Amino acid sequence: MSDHEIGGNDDLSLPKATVQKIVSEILPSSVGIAFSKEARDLLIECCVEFITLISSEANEISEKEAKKTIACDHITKALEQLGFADYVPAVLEAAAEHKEVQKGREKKANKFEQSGMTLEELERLQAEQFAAAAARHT
Amino acid sequence: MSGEGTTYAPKSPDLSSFYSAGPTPPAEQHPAAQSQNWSLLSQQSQQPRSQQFSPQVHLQQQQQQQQSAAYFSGPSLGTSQQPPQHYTLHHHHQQQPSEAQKLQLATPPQSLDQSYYSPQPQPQPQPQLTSQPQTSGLSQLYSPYFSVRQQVVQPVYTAPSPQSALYQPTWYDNGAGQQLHASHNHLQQVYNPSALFAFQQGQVGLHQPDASSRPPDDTSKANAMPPRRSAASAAHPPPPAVEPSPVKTKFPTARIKRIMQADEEVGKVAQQTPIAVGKALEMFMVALVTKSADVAREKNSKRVSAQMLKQVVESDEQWDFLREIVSKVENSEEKGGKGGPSKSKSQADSEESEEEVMPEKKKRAGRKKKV
Repeated sequence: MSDHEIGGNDDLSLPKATVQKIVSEILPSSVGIAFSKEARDLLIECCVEFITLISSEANEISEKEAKKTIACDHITKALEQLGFADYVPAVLEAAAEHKEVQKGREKKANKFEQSGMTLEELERLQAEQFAAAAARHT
Repeated sequence: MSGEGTTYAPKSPDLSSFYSAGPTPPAEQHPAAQSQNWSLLSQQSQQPRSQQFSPQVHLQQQQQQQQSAAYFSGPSLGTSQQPPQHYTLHHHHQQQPSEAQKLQLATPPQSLDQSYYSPQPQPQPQPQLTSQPQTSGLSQLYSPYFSVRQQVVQPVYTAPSPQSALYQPTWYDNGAGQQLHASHNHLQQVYNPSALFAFQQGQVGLHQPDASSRPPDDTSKANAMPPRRSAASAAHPPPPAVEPSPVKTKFPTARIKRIMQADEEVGKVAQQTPIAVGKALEMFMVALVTKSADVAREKNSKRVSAQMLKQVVESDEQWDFLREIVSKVENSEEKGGKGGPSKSKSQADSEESEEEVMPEKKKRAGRKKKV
């Protein structure tokens, strides 16, 4: 494995608490089976390896397509090539969901369009408010 | 225990052929199926159950019951190799609805069933049993085509729907069966404790398929079953459609991106990409975790050891990219493997809470040195 194994760099591993939380979400206490510490650590290593595998495969695909950025497409193609084709629908769904959220954020951020006023109207409103504020302080 | 479980597995396809053949073979076949299920039941003996009983005890009870009530003689395990077919059929027929009733606590059972499947397992006159109109439905009851059977027999029979799965080789999910078993027992006691015995006989043939097939149309059963479990085990056969994942927690995308870019060859990564990878990672974890939990269940362990995870990784070539990692960990695992399974659940829990508090760096470094 790569240098993060030897260096023990936490940044290149996954947060244990998060992994533990996800494991217990997969195996709720009603199942009555818990993950041992060793198994969880091993699982984390497997997860990191999985990410590395997917991203290097996706990188190859993107290079073949003469793209500089690894896009979602490349990830799904990599998943298909690596025998994880059954993950693809959920992955696409998650990506689409994220896109929607992102769009919503952008729209929200644009207050100017939301106000529904022209630039002149806004300028007049601002001038009025300034005048009102000045009147209050004198 | 797991040995018994595996001996059962190859037999079940035979049963399916017998069952679809007609109403007569089931009578002979069902006791066999039951006794096989008993091995699974005994496997569950460590599971918390509302009624603690061992198969042997139950057998005795059943024998006593045989003496007192003739119509219970049919499905007694092993004791009667050739049970009278009619009795057996009636017996099962009688009890499956009783399970249905118990599962459908909310819906009132039909009057006929209530009188006929009265929870009091008192001997009823056999002529009366044979004269029941449901007799015509019996062959269908054992046919694998449940939906037909369900409509023909009684609307109350929503619960036996998974029965068809009993005779198919595909049911594998013992663990869910155990769970369901427990919940059935619970329901059953709520319904009528005196019916426990009768119900359990019927349940023997039913609790396994309930879990494995998990019919979406049956709402009453879905209520009896833990919903999380159903979602988790749905990951086993890769579904064509996107199923809701039990995992709500998301991995930090920044971390994923960093791990991706730790590979020097990997250049720019689109904003969406870590999210896609995170989702894939989540599914990967669900698959790995549920499979290793299945292994733990087979071994009657409440804790998944690294050894079990290793076993899962080595069982499927889909995960051969992990072999290097699991083989590396094996050495340091000998200790953990010995200590892990023997620990009690409470210890395991307390340890877990400790783990979360413990600093990552320290542990990681410690384990690295061992490797």
